[in-house]
Amino acid sequence: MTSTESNGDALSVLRAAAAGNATEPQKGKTAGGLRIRGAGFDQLIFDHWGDSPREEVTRSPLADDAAKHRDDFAAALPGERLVIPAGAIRFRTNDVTYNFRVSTPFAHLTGLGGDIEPGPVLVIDPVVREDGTVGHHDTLYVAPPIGHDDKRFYADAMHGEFWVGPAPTLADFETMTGIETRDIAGLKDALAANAGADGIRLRVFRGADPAVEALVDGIREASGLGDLKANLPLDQVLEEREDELRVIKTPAEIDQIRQAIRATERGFERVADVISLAPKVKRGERLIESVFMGSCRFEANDVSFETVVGSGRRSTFLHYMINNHPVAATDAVVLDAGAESQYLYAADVTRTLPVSGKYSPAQRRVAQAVLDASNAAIAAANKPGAHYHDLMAAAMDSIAHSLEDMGILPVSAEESLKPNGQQHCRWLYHGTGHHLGLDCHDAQHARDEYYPNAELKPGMVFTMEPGLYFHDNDLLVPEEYRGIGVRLEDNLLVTESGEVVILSDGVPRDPDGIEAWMAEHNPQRYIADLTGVDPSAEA
Amino acid sequence: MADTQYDKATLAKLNAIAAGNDAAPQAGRRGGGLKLSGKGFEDIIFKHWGPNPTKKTYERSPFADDAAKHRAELVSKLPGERLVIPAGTVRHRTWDIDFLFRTGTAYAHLTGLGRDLEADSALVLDPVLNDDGTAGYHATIYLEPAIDRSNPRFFSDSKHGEFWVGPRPLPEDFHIMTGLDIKDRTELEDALRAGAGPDGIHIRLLRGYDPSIDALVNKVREESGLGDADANRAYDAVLEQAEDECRIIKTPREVAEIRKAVEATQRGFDRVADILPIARQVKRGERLLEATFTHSCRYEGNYISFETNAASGPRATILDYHANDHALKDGELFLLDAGIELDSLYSADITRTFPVNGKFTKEQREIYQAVLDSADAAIAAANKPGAVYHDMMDAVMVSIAHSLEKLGILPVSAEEALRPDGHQYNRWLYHGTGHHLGLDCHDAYRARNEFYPDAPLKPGMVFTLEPGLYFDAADEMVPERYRGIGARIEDDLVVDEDGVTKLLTTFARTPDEIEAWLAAHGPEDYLQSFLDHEAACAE
Repeated sequence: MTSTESNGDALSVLRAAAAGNATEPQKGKTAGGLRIRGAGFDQLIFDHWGDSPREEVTRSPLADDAAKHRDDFAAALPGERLVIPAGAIRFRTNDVTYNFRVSTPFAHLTGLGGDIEPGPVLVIDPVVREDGTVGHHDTLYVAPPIGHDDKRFYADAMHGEFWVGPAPTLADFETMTGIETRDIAGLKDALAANAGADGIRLRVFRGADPAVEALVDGIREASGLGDLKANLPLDQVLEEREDELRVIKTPAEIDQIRQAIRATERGFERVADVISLAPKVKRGERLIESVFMGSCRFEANDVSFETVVGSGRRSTFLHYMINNHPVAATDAVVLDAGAESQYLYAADVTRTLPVSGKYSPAQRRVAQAVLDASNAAIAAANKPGAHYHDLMAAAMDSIAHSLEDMGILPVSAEESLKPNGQQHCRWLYHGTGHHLGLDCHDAQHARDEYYPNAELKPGMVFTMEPGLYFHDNDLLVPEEYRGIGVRLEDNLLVTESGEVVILSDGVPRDPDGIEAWMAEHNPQRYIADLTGVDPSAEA
Repeated sequence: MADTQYDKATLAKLNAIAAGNDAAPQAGRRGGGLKLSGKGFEDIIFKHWGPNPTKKTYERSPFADDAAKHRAELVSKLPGERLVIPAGTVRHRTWDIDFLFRTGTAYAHLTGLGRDLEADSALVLDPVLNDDGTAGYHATIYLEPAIDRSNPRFFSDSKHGEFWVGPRPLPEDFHIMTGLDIKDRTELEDALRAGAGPDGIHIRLLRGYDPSIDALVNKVREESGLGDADANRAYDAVLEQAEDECRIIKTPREVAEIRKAVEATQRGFDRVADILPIARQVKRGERLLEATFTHSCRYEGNYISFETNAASGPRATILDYHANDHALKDGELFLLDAGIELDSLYSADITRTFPVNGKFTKEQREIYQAVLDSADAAIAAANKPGAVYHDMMDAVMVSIAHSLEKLGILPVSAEEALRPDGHQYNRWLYHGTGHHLGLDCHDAYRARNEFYPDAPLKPGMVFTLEPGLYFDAADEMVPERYRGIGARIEDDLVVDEDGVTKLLTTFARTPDEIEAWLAAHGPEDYLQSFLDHEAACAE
């Protein structure tokens, strides 16, 4: 039974069959819910409440930096109204949500981090100062908490205090951020004020909160500022400028990244503790992944991206994240993982670990080639006047020569490194690093002069992640290497003095160092090292 | 402070300055990416690949037969129409960090697929004429095929290419798993149009899962004279309602799968009990236990089926508390509401409230017992001849009212409170006391009342029973010794073939059993439990 190109007779039979189908859903469905009624309830529900214990609220350690970022941001797009939503709730399925995480520009421009509920919006308005120069005035719009004087405190399952606990007040947000905070009920009027082709232009950060985007789109269209199509490039410029502000990190931000790296390293150590158990269970990759994620969720806010646990031949797949295959004792496992700090800064580290604790000769050869590429890139970064793209060039140069030494490259390294060569990319076909910060792939929308073509400057933080991937059916590769994938990823900082240093060397980088490090770890240490509490003391 | 006031001169100045701002982003930004080009590379990348040595053999899904039944049932509710059921699309955490995809519930129910199979695809049920002249249906899946080595884009397409994501099921594999016709997504538009029209085939869509399919269906409907998105809103809601109603009765296979989910969830609770003595001693005890539970679920199944509540002490009175970052206190209770989602996506949902130091205080026991009594009353009510679903919640409230009277908390007699104009007890239990359970945790939520709360209990129904009592720390109507205590007990139940409503959960339930369960667990058992139960993990 195939095509549904129905003829007229069939269509009319089907139409007749469908004629009785309902056209509207039932109203007032209650499913498993409780509808609370009763005069007795109404009479007592609003009274006899003392003060709910409130969490103490302090100024964010990033609030000062955020104020500076707002200055720079407003100066990049002077005279305009810039709208930065924190984001809307995200549903996984039906009514189940993901843990909310504010949008990156919102975090960067307010200093707020984990534990913020969806909905707030930052608005940066242009002003003319007394001296005639153009400045900005910032306002944060949030929903006020719903307390015991409002029926919604028990009836509104998304926002009521009975359901979500006491929410921060507007004053709390001012304490945390130092930004004037107002009821979000006033957002629409505030956005529309003086908007127009002869008045104030609006730009909005897209991708975080569709409702706020729709609000801005509507205001722009109604005030003669054009439709969505006309404004999309302007909004993309806003994203571009905000990304460019994130290329240089402040000391407080670097500290957050260090914290994320430390949590990541501890996660790697937990993996080293349990990895000997992996070959004994069906889903060894999943054992490793869940140990890492559990560690990050305990030590930090969460993971900053979905963990890659590629064991055996899966080490050659870059975006393999199902992580559900068995792990053999002879495997090397690519573990590409990172924690996210309390204020949402990311780490992103990769180590390729031999499950048995010892690399095979073939695995070691590949790991050494990758390490050499990383070291070559760091050396290039430390040359005076180095530019960002010099790192990848140095890594590729090293990789091409290693492939030549290994007898794999079908041409000379020199030939391969020419623009019309590039044969070595068959075995390393991804960019060898990215800026790192509030986004894992941070500042990716920055213009080329801020990113690949930029000179390295103090405060830059980026990854260096060369790899070699020999797919198991790659006939250009000697059999001993097939099925082996190795990546080594570190997080680098350009210090105040301009030196490029490794932040993520808490876990060794070289094959000998990794083997020694793994030998120090075992399952018996796991709980004590994770928690700081010795379980044998609990007996 | 007054709103930013703009006079004409100010507006003109700001407008002039803004006119100089960029209106379009830079084209061809590279960020940290690698542009793969070079004739040498192109010459070798498509050649010298052997066959895939470990191509996976796919099998018919164990739920494929049930799925066929479900499709037939859905079509019988809406005969003669074209029904479009998208699987959904990847959700983003930040701009390029995605959450692992979880396929949509209705799609899973109607195809027998689970886990992450398959983003951006859609099931279409087309009306056809059976040989006997009655209205039947034909099912087709439209998907974006994975790109394996036989297609040149296997390395350049980072979304589907095998180089990036590893080997994924091909169309023929989906056919094996589901038994259905599999077509390319590019054929969907024509398929939707075939015969569509006010006098021809009407189209209903499950909205909100896949924006691009929503847009496509809306376009086809509008162009076929079937009305725009708004005109079809109620129409589409009927499809959602009908599909939910098909999920109320579970097949024996589905019941068995939910039983597996319950057992896996119980093992997660066991592992939490193992770690509890440690969690008592760390700063973020709640987080350690939440991570322990998630770790267990990710190891054995797909993920957790909803955001875990790991609420210690007074936070147990906040129903949607998810921050899970406070310390546990000796002498307080800990409430864990959590459930696994298996690879098949069937879920469980269990809550246990237990004393941090292993022993209930007198007050805690009183409240816990009151909750337990109400649950037992509900089960008894469910087993009366002719019982309907909402009888359980009614029985809970009767029991709770009497318990609150005995505890001296209810300000009126239980008899008064139980009258329609009373309901004072809802101040301390203000949520629905259970829900159907299945592929969604809150399953079948859009079913009509006659299928859900007003339905007679029937074999194959699976639902939770979750009464609780919540004495807010600031509740002045409650004696001080009870303030800050929240307790919930949630079990999963099934109506068996003989119409008996009984527990699927099999672990500790009474206060004594809870204390014994805690005493029987400790950190020394923790890692071993992953080895002992590895057979229960999904393949």
